[in-house]
Amino acid sequence: MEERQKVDPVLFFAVLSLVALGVVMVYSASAVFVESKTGDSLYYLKRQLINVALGLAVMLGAMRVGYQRLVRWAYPLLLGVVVLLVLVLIPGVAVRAGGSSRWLPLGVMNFQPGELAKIAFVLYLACSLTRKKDRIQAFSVGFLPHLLVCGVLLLLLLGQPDFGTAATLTLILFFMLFVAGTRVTYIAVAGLAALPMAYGLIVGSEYRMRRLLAFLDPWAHRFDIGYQISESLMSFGSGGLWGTGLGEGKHKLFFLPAAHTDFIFSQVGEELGFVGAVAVLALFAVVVWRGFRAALRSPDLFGTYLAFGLAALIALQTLVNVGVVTGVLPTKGLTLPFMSYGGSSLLCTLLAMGILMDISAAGGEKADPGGSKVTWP
Amino acid sequence: MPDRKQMSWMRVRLYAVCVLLIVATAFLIWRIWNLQIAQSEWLGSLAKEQYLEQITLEPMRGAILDRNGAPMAVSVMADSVFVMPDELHDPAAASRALARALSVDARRIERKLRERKHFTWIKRRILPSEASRVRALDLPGVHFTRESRRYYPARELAASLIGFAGDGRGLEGLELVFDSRLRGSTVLARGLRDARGNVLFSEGVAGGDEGEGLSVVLTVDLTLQEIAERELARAVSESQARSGLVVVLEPSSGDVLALANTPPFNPNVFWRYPSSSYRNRSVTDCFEPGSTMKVFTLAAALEHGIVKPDDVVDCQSGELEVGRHTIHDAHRGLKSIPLREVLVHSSNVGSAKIGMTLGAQHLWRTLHDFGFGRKPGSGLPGEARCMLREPGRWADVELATISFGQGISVSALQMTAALGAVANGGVWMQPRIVREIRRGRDRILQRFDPQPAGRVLNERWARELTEMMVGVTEAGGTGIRGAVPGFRVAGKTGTAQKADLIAGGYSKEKRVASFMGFAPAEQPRIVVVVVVDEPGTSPYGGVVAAPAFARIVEASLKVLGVFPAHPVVAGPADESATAAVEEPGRGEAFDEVGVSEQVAAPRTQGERCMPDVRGLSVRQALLRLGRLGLDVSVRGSGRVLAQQPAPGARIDLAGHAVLVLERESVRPADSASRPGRSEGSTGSETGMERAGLDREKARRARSELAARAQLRAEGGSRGH
Repeated sequence: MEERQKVDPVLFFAVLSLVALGVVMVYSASAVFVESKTGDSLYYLKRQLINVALGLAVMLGAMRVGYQRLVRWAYPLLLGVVVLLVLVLIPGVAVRAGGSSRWLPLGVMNFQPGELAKIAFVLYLACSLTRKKDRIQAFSVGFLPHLLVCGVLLLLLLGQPDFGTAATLTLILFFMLFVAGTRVTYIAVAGLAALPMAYGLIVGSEYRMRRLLAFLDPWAHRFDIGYQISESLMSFGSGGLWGTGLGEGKHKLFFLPAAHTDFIFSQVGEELGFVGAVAVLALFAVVVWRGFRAALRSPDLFGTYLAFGLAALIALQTLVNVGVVTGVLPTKGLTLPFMSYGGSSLLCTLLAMGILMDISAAGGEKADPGGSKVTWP
Repeated sequence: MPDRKQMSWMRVRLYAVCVLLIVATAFLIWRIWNLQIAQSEWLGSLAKEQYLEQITLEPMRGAILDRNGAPMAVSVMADSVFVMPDELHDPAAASRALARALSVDARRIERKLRERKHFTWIKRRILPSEASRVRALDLPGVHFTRESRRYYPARELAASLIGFAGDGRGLEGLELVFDSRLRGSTVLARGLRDARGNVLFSEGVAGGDEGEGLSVVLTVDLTLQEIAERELARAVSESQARSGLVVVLEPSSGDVLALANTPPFNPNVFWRYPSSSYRNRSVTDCFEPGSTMKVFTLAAALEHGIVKPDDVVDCQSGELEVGRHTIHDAHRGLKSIPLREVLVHSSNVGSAKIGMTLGAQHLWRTLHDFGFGRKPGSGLPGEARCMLREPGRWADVELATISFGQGISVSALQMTAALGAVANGGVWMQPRIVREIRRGRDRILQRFDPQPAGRVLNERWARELTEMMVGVTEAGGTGIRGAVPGFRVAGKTGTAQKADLIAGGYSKEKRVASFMGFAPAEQPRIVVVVVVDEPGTSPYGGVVAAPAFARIVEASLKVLGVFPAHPVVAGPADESATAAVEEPGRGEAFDEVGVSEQVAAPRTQGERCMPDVRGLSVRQALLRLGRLGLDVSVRGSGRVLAQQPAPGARIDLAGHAVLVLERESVRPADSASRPGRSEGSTGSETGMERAGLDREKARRARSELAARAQLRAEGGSRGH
């Protein structure tokens, strides 16, 4: 670690581009709205810039730690996250917003343990799957424990409630188990078993039911529960091929709630158009591609799992978020990595990128001179 | 290092994940394509519909202005108070406080607050002082919105002429006649709206006075109107009469300068008066004129060549038998008198004999030419035709009585217009009440030019007749009290018996006393008719109506800048002189406004009068005051609302003047705390007038929407 690592430049610049674009879009989306609220149109821009600065520092720090050392941290971190998720559920400790308590007050900013939970869970899985690599196909060893850990996290997350993070964790679990070589039948059965559970959760909770109804027919509920999604679709529609131009979007004028957080991508769609939206997706694809590349080049199995998990995390969150804002998935309350406003999300995402770049650099050292058999086409 | 087999399997699985992700991404891109390209038009139009709000701007009703641009009827934005009862904490206390602030019944308010949950009007279109009192209460749930309200700054002046408007439509008088012009059209402005209903940017709202009601500029001169009303009221009360009428007309143009009726009413609170007082009785009501008619009988005789001015008429000692009737003079014993003295003595017998010599056909012809029995065509509502029967249906005695003004009825306006023809050298001018239709204050859309209806009397006879009438106001005439010091005044008294509709025939006590005339006789500037109905003190026009006539003429001529050609030799107490001092500025040439062509009032050395610059734009006002060498300071923006010194006050060389404009700058302290409310609100009593002249459309839109936004913002904040 003392010698200089080679950072994957493609990954690095893709991440920086997304972060920079995110800052611009956050400003564009929030300026009018926040000025009416606080009188300072730069309010969210300033805060997001601080988040970016912190996030980049975390990312650069994580690159230097050395991912192998993280093995030791996997279980303590998981335990810590569980504690935080329990804390979040205690009334009076947590900060409530929008009907759920997801945030812990941390002085100047609020921290969202759910964001950290994703990384902790990926780290735990990578660690556990590496340890159990030979017995991975055994149900009680390779499958059940992970499912149970995931179940605990899910219960805690649904208590907030945070359906978005819960769904992401479930998908990550299946992805990583699949890649690690768990029997596909287990995954399929678990998936089939999860469906009625998800159904039960949705029907059992009025707000999730409303979201589902809104998703199924946003226009019928355009003025109540389908409002946000209809507005988002109209944002996209107003954008056209080239967009209305930066700052020219109209939907951020209070029409679209959370325009600068969860629905930032519809701002991209409106102001930068189809071309801009696809370009942003392409940047995400680059990040994921470089992540998978790092996974395949990793010198050890832990690095492979970890890199894959982190890259898949970005991919899943992006796809789910874009799916939500384009109306093909029900609303979940999930941020778009790199771009959405929010300290926890950005910090955790950049932490993940730091680890990923570290793995990538480690793989690069070994792979380049030795000519590893594992190469990305 | 992971073993090879495991690694390759994993690679396969990872590829599988990749494929899944790629498929998902492709699907999302297809979806975005669909939204942004395929459905773009539909979604975009939905979005536009949402944020481009159609703001319906109720048009601002146009103003009614006098000939000099002084406002007679204007629209102002006034606050209306409503309450959302469910936001109130203590309805009983709130209704008490509101009742005090708005001087309304507390129990009624409380009942409203209990009956309705979400919205109830408390009082609409309130005064600025009331609004500030309510604002000071700072009650939750009490809200304001802006509505336009018609305001008549001149109050009773010319009220029956102007009429009034209610709820945005004209109901009486000129407000009714010109309703379609004044009302304007509803403007659809497009504003960019946010989800809270705030208009952020407006597209085309600031586009001038589009849709705004047109302004109607009258021929009436508010100063002359005030003189006329004041003197009429005095004449009516001094003579203990039932009512009275005055019409003042400019003979050369037919312009009606003043049109007064008693009793007056205040159009600002028209509902407090009986509807009978709304009638513009100078135009709608007919009366038998009596002796004033003799002027037109003589005109007819001269015009038809039946008599010459030097002829002699035998008045037969004041008795003439016509069929079974006997006609009497008021003063018996007149023998043969020259024709030119028939008017001076106001001989009924003389007039009857002339009329009978002339014949019904000829007399009717001339009277008809002079506008009797026809609608004057001034454009005022309810013009009476009055009664002038076809000559074929005149009984013998009718020809005789019509010759001295009984058996015929006229309206005051007809009378004035007819006399105007004499004053105008024999050319009858159609009475004109509306001068121009303007857009905004300055852009003239339509001009009504004077309408000469043709010569009805040879100019020579007109001059002769004028001279005969001058005799009436000179020593020995019946109308000596109609004389005005320094001027030769043509006049004629009238005293008519009123037809008794119940008993039939003529009433013994009920008379209509009148006086008509014009001055100066050499070059008549105004024609004035004063009618006093059922005077209690004296029945004679020469006693009851003539003094009012004289005072009106004297004051009006001063206002018009017409000064005695003959020096006044220590005349009687000059009461009306004060009236002229009020507005001497009117004498000046108002060339910028294009209002008046009158000659400049002569200025005495070193001491001049402050002109009336109210209603002018700042630029015009500064130009005029600058010419006088005044140092002027200006407060606010827009048109001049008030001035210091007052119009007519004496000013020194290098004096100082202060102009207060419509939009006086609002103190920041007032507005800082509540941006939504302070917008467009006026803090003081004068705010009514200030707002009244406010014609800026964008500003209206803003304040309107600010009020709405305030509403929504407050409504919204409750939710959190």
